[in-house]
Amino acid sequence: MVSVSSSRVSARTTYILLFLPALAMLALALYPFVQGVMTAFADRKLYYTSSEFVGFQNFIELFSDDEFRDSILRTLAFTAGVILVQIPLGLGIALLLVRQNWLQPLLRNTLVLPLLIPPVVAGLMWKTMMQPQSGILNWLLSKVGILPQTWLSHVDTALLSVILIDTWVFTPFAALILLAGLQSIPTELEEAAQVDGAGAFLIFRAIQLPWIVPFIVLVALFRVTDSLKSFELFYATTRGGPLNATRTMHIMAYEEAFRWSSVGKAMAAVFVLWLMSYFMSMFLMSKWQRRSGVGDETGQAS
Amino acid sequence: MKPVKLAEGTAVALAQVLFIGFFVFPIIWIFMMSLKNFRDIISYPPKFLFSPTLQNYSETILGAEGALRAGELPEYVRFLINSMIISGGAVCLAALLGVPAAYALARSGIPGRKHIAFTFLSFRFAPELMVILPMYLIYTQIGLYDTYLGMVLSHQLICLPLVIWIMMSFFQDIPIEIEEAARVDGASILLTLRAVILPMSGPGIASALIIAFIFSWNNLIFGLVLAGPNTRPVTMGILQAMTFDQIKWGLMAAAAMVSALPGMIAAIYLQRHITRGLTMGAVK
Amino acid sequence: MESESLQMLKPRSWVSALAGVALLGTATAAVSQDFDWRQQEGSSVNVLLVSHSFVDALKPLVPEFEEMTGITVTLDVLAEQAANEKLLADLSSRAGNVDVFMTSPLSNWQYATANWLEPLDAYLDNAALTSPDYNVGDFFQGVLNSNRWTRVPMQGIGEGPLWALPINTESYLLAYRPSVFAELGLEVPKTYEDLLAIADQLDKGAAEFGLITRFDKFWDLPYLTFGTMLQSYGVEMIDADGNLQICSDASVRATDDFVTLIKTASPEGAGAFTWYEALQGFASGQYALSLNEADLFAPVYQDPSQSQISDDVGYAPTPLGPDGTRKAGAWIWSMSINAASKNKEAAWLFLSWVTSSDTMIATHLTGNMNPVRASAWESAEVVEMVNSWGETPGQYSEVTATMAEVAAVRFPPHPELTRMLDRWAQAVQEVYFNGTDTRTALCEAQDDVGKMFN
Repeated sequence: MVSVSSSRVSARTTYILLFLPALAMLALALYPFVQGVMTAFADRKLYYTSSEFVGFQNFIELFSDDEFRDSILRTLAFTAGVILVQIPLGLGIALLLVRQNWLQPLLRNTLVLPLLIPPVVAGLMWKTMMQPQSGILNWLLSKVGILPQTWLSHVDTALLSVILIDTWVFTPFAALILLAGLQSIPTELEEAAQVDGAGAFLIFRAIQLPWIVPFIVLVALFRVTDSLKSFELFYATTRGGPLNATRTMHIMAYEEAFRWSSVGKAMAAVFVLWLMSYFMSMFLMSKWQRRSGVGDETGQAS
Repeated sequence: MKPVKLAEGTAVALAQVLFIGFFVFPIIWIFMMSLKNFRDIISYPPKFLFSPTLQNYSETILGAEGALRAGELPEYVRFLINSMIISGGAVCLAALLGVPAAYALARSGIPGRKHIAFTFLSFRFAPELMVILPMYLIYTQIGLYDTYLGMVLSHQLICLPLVIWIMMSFFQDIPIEIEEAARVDGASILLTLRAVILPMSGPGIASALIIAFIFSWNNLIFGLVLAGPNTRPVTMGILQAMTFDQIKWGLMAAAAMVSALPGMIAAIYLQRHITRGLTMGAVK
Repeated sequence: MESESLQMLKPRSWVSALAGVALLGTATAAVSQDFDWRQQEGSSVNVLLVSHSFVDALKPLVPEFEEMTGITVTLDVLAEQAANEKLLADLSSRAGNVDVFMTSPLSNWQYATANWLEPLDAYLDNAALTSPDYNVGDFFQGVLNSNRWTRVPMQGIGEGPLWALPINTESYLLAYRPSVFAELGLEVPKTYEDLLAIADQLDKGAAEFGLITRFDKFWDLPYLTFGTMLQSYGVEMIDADGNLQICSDASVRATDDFVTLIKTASPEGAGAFTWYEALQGFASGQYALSLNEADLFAPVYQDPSQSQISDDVGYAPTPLGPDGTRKAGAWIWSMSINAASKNKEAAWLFLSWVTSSDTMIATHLTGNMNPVRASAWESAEVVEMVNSWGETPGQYSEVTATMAEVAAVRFPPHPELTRMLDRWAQAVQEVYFNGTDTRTALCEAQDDVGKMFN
């Protein structure tokens, strides 16, 4: 049990400060969430007024369907792709942004641009750029002697293409948070290291990287949970196709609910998705806690 | 300059140019599209030289000819105003509720604080699909449907977890000694927060607010289901260009450009705060 | 399971249709000479519309209605998918925020099953609510009656209550580039056999690629475009005895021919073409032929500010099947009233004003195609506008007239038909992408569809 020192926020104040936001979230999300979970256990079709409790029937049906298992794998592959590409890229950009040169302000200001285009519009625009016959990307490739690509229109390349679009849309988010993390490093630390003659790589490894680990985890936390439930980009570009190449769990649930009105089954799929989000973030948070746990100890020691 | 330094500088500049190109090219392409008529948009090979037209912008902002009713604001302008009220209000509320909560979570020793923090985050896990139908029903029943208040509240599901978690990361990095000094001087918690902590966390607050604003601005599903004709946000206005029998690319591009403007201004303005926060951090 | 053909343009078919409703028309006219449009003054109507040329055409006219009736109209215009989500949210919760909305028979089979739709017959028959000059007999009866259904799954389309009133129809045709066909010395194909024979030559001329058509994995494939080809091969989803025909010999043959056509004459990537890529691809001049695409893309092809081929486009009826049959799919945009609406009478006044002959003609002139009322097709201004479309004067009207005779909704009404047709489309995609044996893929789809009926 942690003792509450005078420098810390007392338990009572904490509860007061937490009360309103907690209330707002609960009021907004709790009832709809419970409703959603209950629907997952019901034989609910939008066009029937009544629905019956069917236990795990929806889940059993889902998991005995190869297509659902494939969609879980696809969702995980997409999420892994997003994390593996966007975190290193975001970190690279953040490191470029803390270096002062004449290009830095330009990069800093262009970085926010992708965030300002709604993802669904970004998806549609990229789709036209990737159009195999008339898109600008294949035209540019042909100018430098590269064969045209199939991009979103072929089962083998569609998922990778969506990851590329997602990278354009969301890497700035990763970069902005990591940049803010780098900027919160006390300057004395870096200056001291520079005086000692440490090179850029050593400074990165010994000072910057350890400092921003919680920020990396933070980005991972948001990107993982958002990618698992990613919807707009998929719907704007491939709607799950061609064939089923980009049919993720959320797309599948959407089709069940809004195209085919099987809300019960849709909610069951979405509930599985929610559980995946929950456990993955739990895992990531344990990493985040370890780092800040160190902070807690220093706080106590002081 | 040493050759090593020179090579490093060149590599850095090259990487910067590469990233700038990657991020900015699609935007330039959308901008060019917004100045083209449909015939130029679909032409192949792609046209870089064309006679630009402002038709898409005038149609976006003023509406198609004849559609504007006397004494009414053009539809798209109303959408823009709606979005400013909703996203502005949502970010203000999220900052008001979220920053103190983040501070409390970062600094308190109450048992299970990490579980509380996690619970706040977990509200983001649920795909909107799961909550949107029941939410629509409640909103209609209690009269929040198609109201600004209802929209601002629903956007807390987007903004509040972002603000709390980003701010929490920052507060934890602020050396505790500084606060202790203030507290010894007898300052209350809220005063410490306002006078000492907030000025030091400029970069964090600026990033958190920019990001929360942008995510709220770009949100589609709440604006679609919970907003009605009176509070319809700008994203829905952009999508109107996607008609059943045709996609009006030029209109969509122009609408997207106009909708990006407020965010651009906010981002550039707040970016200045990021740098100021940085220098203040150095002073400490 | 043959339902009534649309019969839009043939004078003979209207005459018989008119006779059926003449009684009703005169009776109504006799009762109320001067109709009271202001009976719902002060009320308001919320209208949910799908973004469409019809809506652009309607918007400027709405103030006239508000002035005439004193009813406030709020138009809520959303993209197709968004409108569908919004509508389902409102209908399924019975919130009644939406009074009138755009829909189609395919969606209405679900909505009617759920009791979400207000039956319209009582309003039509009520002289106090329907203006005497409304003339419901003026609608092409095939189109109008596609919105009738008894709500018994798998049967009774064209009978029972009227759930919606039509506002436009779409069927399918060939669009071709006359200059390319002349250059190559090719005839515009009259049969699918002809088309298969010239498929590998279409890209040898000025057009970079041969043919374009949508090819996604959703219901519009077997319902509309490829559906037009299937039906001409004699394939309907369910035969007269109620047996599924998804993997019949004719269906296998049609699917093989379709995939062969795409593989021979379309570029790589054609397996993911959406309807708007098909529209833009052909309008950009990269293709020689557009196969079985929507006739109402014509206004875009013809417009020099939107198309590279406005002076080089011709239209032809869809090809004939192996035994000389031609049938085609049909899409009918309609409008319904929400059963949970709190302003049903004001909603009806709005709906009956929108679908009146005068309003319809005004919308047709500014882009709402194709007309659903005889008086609209006959209107001198509409005739003049349409006459200029095509390689030769009157070509478009002739082709749409030919297609209207064979266009129909030939599917069993069922609330989950979209799920079944999505599954069917997926099988066609499997053949194209995975090289799955056609019969195997289609029979698996048929088995799955069979299970969906239970």
